[in-house]
Amino acid sequence: MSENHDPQAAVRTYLTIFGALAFLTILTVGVAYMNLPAGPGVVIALVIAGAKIFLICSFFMHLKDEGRLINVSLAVCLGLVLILIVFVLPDLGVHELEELHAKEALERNPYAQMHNEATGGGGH
Amino acid sequence: MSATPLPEAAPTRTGISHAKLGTWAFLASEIMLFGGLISAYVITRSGSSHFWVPPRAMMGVPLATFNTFLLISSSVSMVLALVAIQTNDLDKFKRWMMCTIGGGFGFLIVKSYEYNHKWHEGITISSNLFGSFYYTLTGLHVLHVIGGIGLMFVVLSQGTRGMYAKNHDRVECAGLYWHFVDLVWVLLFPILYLL
Repeated sequence: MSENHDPQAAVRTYLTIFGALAFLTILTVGVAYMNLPAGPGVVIALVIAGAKIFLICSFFMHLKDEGRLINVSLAVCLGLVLILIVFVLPDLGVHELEELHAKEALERNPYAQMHNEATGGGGH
Repeated sequence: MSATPLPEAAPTRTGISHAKLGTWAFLASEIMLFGGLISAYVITRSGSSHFWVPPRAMMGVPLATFNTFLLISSSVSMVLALVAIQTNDLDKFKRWMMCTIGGGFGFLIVKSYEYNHKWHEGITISSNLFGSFYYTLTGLHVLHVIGGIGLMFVVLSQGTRGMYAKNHDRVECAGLYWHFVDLVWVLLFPILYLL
């Protein structure tokens, strides 16, 4: 934190951020209990968590006052974490599609599934 | 008993003190540690149709919400302790550091009650995938809280003996670590308890 800041102003800022974090926490719980559909529910919860993380990083960890070195290093780090999640998602999509196709095939011809089970076929 | 104050931080080429740069590098490695585990949880949960998630009533959301408030409050008291040491107000520094440590202990007490409750509800580390992830992620976080409390005691002890009269890098670095612990919980809370 820059020491040139007025301490009283800094304290006021921290208390305001505390209020915002408390409000966002209540909002997260409130939204969760609204039982929204899975997609929007997840997106809203993650957006609120992202906003809280942004406030903590910017004001409590003083990232907004830091130079490019630290900010860029952290951005690279976050990018690498996102790779861990995002690069695997297409694979999940493929399996969901396979499951969907299998379900459709079963709806079209339920006897094929019964035959498979009776003969012990059907793979894993 | 007073101690010799630490010398002022030497100027560096980057303009960032070595202590702070080292702390940020450490935190970057921590991001990868938690990031790897969280991404494994997200992918396993969204990719497996057999991933059982306990109903919200079993998860104890009110207690977890209370714990979130405890950690956020202790983060605020940590930055207020930093302001106090920067203005050489030792009484306030002691008070805010004690609040921070108290917040950490409060978190651990609630967490131990929660673990006990969940274990009796049948959510154990070997009961299913959710249990394994839950105890691994929150257990790792709890270890960080315990480490943070130890660090806070050291900072409190050194600060009250006047070691930070000229150089408060250690308070700032301890604060960075503590805010990171708070930040991880802010992410774990919705993904484990609410979604």
